[in-house]
Amino acid sequence: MPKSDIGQHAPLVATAIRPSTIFNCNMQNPRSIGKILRLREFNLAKSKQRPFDTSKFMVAAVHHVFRQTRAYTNSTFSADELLHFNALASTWWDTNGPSRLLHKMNPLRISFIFDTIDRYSIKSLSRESGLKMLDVGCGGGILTESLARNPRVASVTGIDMSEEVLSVAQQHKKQDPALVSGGKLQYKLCSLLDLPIAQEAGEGQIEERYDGVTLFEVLEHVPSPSAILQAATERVRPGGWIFISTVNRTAVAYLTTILMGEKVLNIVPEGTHTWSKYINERELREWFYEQKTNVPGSGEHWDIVRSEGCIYVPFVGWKFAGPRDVGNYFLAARRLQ
Amino acid sequence: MKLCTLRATLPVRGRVFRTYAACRRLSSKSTLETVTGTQSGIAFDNSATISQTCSTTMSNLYDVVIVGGGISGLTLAAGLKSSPYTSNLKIALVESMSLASAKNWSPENDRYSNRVSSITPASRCYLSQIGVWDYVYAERVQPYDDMRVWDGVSGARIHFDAFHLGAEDASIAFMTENLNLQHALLSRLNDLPADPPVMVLDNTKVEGITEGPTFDDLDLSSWPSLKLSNGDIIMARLLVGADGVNSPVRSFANIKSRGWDYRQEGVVAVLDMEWDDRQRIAWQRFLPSGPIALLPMPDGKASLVWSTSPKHATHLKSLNGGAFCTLVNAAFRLGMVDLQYLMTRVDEEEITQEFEWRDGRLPIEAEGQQFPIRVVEVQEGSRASFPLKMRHCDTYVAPRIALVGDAAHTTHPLAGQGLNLGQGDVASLVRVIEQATQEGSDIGHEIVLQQYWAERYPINHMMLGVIDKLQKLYCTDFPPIVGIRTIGLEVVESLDWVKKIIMKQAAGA
Repeated sequence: MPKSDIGQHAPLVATAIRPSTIFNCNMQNPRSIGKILRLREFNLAKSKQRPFDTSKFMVAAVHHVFRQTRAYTNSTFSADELLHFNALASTWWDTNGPSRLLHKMNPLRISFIFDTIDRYSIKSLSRESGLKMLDVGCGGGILTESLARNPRVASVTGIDMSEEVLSVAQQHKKQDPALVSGGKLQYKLCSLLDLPIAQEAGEGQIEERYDGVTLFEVLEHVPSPSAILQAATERVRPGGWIFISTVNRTAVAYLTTILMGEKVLNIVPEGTHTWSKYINERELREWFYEQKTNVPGSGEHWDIVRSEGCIYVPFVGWKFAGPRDVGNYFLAARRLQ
Repeated sequence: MKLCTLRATLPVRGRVFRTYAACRRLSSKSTLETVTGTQSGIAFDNSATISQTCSTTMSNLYDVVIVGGGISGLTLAAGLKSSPYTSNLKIALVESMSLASAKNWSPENDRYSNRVSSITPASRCYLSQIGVWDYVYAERVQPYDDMRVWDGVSGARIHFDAFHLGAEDASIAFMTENLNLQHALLSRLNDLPADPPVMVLDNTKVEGITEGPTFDDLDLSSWPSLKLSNGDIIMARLLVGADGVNSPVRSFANIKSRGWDYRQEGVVAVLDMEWDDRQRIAWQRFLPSGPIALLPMPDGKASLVWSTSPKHATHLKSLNGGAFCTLVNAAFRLGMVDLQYLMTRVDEEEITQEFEWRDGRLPIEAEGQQFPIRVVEVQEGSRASFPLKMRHCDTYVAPRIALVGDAAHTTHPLAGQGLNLGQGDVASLVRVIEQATQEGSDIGHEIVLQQYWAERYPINHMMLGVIDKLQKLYCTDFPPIVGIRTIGLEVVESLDWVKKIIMKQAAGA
């Protein structure tokens, strides 16, 4: 990761939102600017409400020390994130390498997806098998391959912004004849925003929109999470799902994911996380809630049916445990119409 | 972490076979787009565009290849085929010996094989669960619910019975011939309505293991590829080594196995008791030269495992039947000095006389209570011996490789746990594979297999450790040690709750 930038352009006064963040987000989509503003403003407002807010203190401290300047190439991924993940590409499938924690998380992701579908799907609206899935930020394809092997999934598309990482995914796919011949799995080098939106299925047409879009460990790596969320919602069919996992922007999350994970224990590659990009569970909730109220007439309506905190237990693995508004968490939102 | 050293690529042993090179050349011309199949049941359609050589290679891909047709290997095959989640996996089992004799085994009345195992309730439960126990000849299984163990030097005793098991009708373990189990497993595999059925390749040796070939759009370099003595080459998504102490699969995976030899041999024999006393008691006496155990078998028979020095083992095997039986009786009844003296004699008459004179001084009511009733005959040709050792692998898994049973660990027979630890491995590995197939994970992926290792290693390590320490503790007649172990044994004997815990562990719970 480009360390040289650290500190050079660190703002003296910490702000929860930088002008460049707004400036560089997708100008073609004015709604996303509004969204991101609302999202960040909401953070600020919320932090003011608290009598003693450790996270506010952390904002100042962390921004000052770790804030890096980023040259945004586009609104969905920044250059330094790209560099960071490119560097990880070669070791992506090394289960004892830097991505070990990600591999360990896979069973939790899979069980989260299918348990949620089993428990909360609305029979009349959604399918329970023959699912069409989209894995956003698929990386080396850890989750994508598992989805493709799952008998309940009919097809899965993995998209990522890093060419190097995606070529690792393509290479690794070749190691499994079942994936090569099954034809269920495809990778695309593109941003979610550039992925064509399938139209609503008419009479006799095949539904092209996705039954599930996964945004696992994605939102905390993009400069404009609301643009990504917005794009994801447009690609889900009614009755379909968005599955998200990310990290709360709290002091505890800083201590566990960055200080312990990256700097002390070294179980996560350094530079993977940026604390200021973390998203609180309440913010996501709020965002989905606004979908209903902000776009009157669209009839789009999102329900957050499940949201759970998870922790990594050494020697055991990832487990759903602990509060959902402190550290890592998973969230499932269902589209209703 | 230890695992870190064992990661990464499989070592290349030997060179890639010529057929692969041919395949690679051909595949560059004709792509493999006709390849079809899923993890659950790989099947390949071969169109005319693919050369004969290539299609042969492709049809030889398996989800699981098990090397070793012993009890662990067969249990794994039966376990996977009995589970609704894994029954559609394509499985091959390779065994160098013939399995025909086990498959067509019909028990002879009054004759037992000397290869006998003690099956714990946990193992029996698993075998029932996968439908194997129904095929076992029940009349050739002897449960026991009473165990009497004592110190040959000090005479301190410990006694376990059904009370310590927590249930009146519970058994400590079940004695049966390995052949009985092997026969049951093969019958079960034969009758399972699995599609595809397990490909059992017996009389087939594994001549070499290498990395798989790479084609334009298929990369099998992470798949272990086995060259078989029948000329076939098969490749495995997951290669399981159930191939015993000197596991070739373990060598291929470069997994270190640590441990030591006990400098003892286990002398086994099938014995006839003086009468069928209908008691269900397992006897074990710890002599400084090694423990001697007499385990009940049906029809008034008993199975002997006498761990002793190689010199004594040779001597015991060379004696005639009568003298051998007398020495067995002496080993359970006489003091150490008397026994040592008898071991130096070779003449049957002399041994018998010396024994009778000494045995006459023992109280008659102790017979069947403090030591077993007499052994009167040894079954012809049933005496054999094998070296005893302790081995434990650092890991049981590598990418696309797992070890089960003796390939992963070997132990002293004094606790009758060897086979049962292997059964525990198999049950755990099946569970892990079941879960992985449900998740859609690759069953050969190391992160999946590590769960199996993480589950089994501590359990096996503890059991191996305890058995090893017991062996060492009792292999001496140094008085202070004898004093300490006698006090320890007597304390345990007086504490029923401790005995209950011990029984629970030994039962595999």
